[in-house]
Amino acid sequence: MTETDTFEAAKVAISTAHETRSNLCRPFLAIAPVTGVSVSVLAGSSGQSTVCSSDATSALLDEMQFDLGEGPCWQALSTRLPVLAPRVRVDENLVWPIFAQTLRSDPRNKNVQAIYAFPLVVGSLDIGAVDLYSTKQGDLTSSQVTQVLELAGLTAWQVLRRILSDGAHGVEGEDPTGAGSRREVHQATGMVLAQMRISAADAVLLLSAHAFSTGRSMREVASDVVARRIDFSGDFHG
Amino acid sequence: MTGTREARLAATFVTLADTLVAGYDVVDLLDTLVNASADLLDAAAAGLILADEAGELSVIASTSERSRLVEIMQLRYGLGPCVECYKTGEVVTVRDVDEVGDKWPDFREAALEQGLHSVHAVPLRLRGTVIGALNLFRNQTGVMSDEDMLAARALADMATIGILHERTVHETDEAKRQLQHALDSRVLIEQAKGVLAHTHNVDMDEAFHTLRDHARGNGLLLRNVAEAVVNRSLVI
Repeated sequence: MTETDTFEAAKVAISTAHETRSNLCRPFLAIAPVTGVSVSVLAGSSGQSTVCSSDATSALLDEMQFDLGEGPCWQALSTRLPVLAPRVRVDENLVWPIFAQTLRSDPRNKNVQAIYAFPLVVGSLDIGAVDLYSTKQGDLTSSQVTQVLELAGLTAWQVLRRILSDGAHGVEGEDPTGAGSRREVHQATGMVLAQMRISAADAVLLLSAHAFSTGRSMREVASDVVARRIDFSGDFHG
Repeated sequence: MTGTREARLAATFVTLADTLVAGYDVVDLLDTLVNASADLLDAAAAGLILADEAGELSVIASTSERSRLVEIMQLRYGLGPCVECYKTGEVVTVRDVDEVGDKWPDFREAALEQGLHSVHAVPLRLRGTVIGALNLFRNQTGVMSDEDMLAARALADMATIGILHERTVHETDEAKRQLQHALDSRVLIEQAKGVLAHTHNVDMDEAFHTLRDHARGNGLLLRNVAEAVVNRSLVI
């Protein structure tokens, strides 16, 4: 297949993803020289979720950014521009220092050499981001950036469709927006807000702070809360 | 008002342009416009009519009750220069109100009663879309000068931009609200499960059934019940 054919095929794959229930991540791997891809929804303090991820590392990179509230996907969405970090392990001028620090110190990420994040937007609606990572340092060519941007535009529409058709019901079962990946975090938030009689926002902060100070992910802490291994109501007695 | 007509016209445009920034009041804009039009173009009265989504016309701003009455009469019967202007999207001029008795008898009667003898109606349009009309009434017969007609058109264009801008802002806000609403729904339901799991000391499945049963039993939407449970305004 020629390069043009590959790109056309990728566009078709994403445009029909809703009907064919196919994966939104794979088409990006076909057109960019990257190792892994994830597509995430980012909206407000509790609406983040991973829609799809091509490998464990991509999923982990998403999760770190959800937990920290900073990172290339957040920057891509707020600026509505591609965020290209071709030498992410050594670059100094990054606007997400905590994420960079966490990335570099976590042995699970030791192969991540470059990160490229693209915004998912539809008109004035902010949806989320596509994060690509590579095990090799290096820039994307401008033609690759253009193609990824075009695919990202199509992906944004697909994700929006899923959110709106899923949100109408909000029931158990199929979860095309990937909200289940943070399900326990939300459940833990509910338990903590009931335990402490505080707002949901404060409960999220509490969980987030606890995770950060103990060097664990929010999902790990949430899992303990849901399994009742941690209970916050006991913390402030006496 | 002091200053040359050109200077005053320019000042009016600046005022109108200022109202296009965020947080402005469209009613204020249209009121300013209508009064400025009457003043600058030597009209005894001016009125602005706008159509809603269904195409129903109503008077949005006018300089006095006088022209308001005239327009109301036309809107009810749909017969008159102002409505014709909206329907055709073209300028409609009535040189002498007395002469349009055959075409628009009711309009003629009402206008003459108020001492209005000529009309100049300018459409509010943006490319192919006509959203209303700016209507200028004079005590004397005759047509407007070319300069005045040009000024009237510019003022009408300003009004159109202001109105359409406000509608776009509202639609964008509405779209964002709907998206946020959809995203929040799932999160709220999971959080509510957590609240119930703790307060009733049950697992998440059981918590979900409690939530769902309460919603069904009270004819409420699951998402709304979840929201109330999470902000602790409802205890199940």
